[in-house]
Amino acid sequence: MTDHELEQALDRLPREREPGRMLEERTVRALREEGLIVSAAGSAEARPAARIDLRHRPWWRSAAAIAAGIALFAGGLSVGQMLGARQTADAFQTVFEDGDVLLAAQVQRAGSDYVAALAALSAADGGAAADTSQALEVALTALWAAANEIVRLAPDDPVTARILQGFEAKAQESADYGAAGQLLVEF
Amino acid sequence: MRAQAVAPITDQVLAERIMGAGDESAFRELYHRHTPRLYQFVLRVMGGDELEAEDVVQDTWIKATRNLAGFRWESKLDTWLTGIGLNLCRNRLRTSGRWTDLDEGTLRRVEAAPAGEARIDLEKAIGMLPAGYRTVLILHDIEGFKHSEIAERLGVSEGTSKSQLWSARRQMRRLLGSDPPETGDVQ
Repeated sequence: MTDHELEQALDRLPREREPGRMLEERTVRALREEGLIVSAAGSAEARPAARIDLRHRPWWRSAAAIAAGIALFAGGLSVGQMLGARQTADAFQTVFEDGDVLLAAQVQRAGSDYVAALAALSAADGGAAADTSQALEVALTALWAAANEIVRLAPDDPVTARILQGFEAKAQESADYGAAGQLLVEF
Repeated sequence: MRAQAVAPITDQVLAERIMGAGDESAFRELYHRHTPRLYQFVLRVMGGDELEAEDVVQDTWIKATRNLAGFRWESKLDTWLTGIGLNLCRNRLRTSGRWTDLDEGTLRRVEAAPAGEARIDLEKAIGMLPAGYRTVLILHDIEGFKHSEIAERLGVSEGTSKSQLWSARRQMRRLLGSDPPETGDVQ
């Protein structure tokens, strides 16, 4: 290999790479703690919501969706308890401190509806497999999107971190997902 | 009525928002624009260690945000970020004994390709170079810096930068299995 060939090979290497999703939140938190930036009220509006492509979903996501759906149903009560756990409580505390009591109540209602819908889905055993699979994909999508928002409220929350790490690990295994490094369809 | 294209907000305007009001959304926008390139650069300089690279990227943003007021916008923001990231990488590599100063008189044994491994991946080969060689190779052959710029950033002469690049390329060819190793080869 000549110098020229080596230069050409090096020139073809990618110039960009996405770091883990947690890095942004870690960095923002560190900057807030230093007083260099101020927590954005209504930061959810500041950035577009997570977008997920349901049309080009790789097969493993369906499998993961089913697993997640089962796990969510089985852990439905635990979710309620988890909401009372320390880290998540801290996150909600932030919301209350901002005076958005109604917003917190809305989150709680939506969460209850989410779990109830999954329970109903699970109870409707014998439905068309394709329909169930699609519903579970949506459930997984909601879980991913919710985890992304929770981590912005509580970047150090270990439960959320594990959920996102699980998604990231799966995403890296999939070429469909990995090329763009992010999901695509408006949720 | 014809829709008009809206010019994207410049880095400088976003930086002013961060300095003026600690605007978190402005920071996130800057983060999304520049982190993928910064992360890829830092990851290569750190020899492929993702955790260390993420720490360096976080520290880079913190340091940059602290010093935004001192940035005179005579160069592009990403060039400035790369410079900060490079210094932080060098500090880390030095602290852990992985960086040797690039003096002209430094003798360094050029290692042969790993036994039984005729041809290895380009990124892996870059990661196997000694940190000094690796940095010069990345700055020159991948990032497109001139020797005068590398010399200024690394605090060495242009001659040192050139000789380090020559050695780095030779070692790369060996690691890639296209240049036979010489026993007792020194620089």
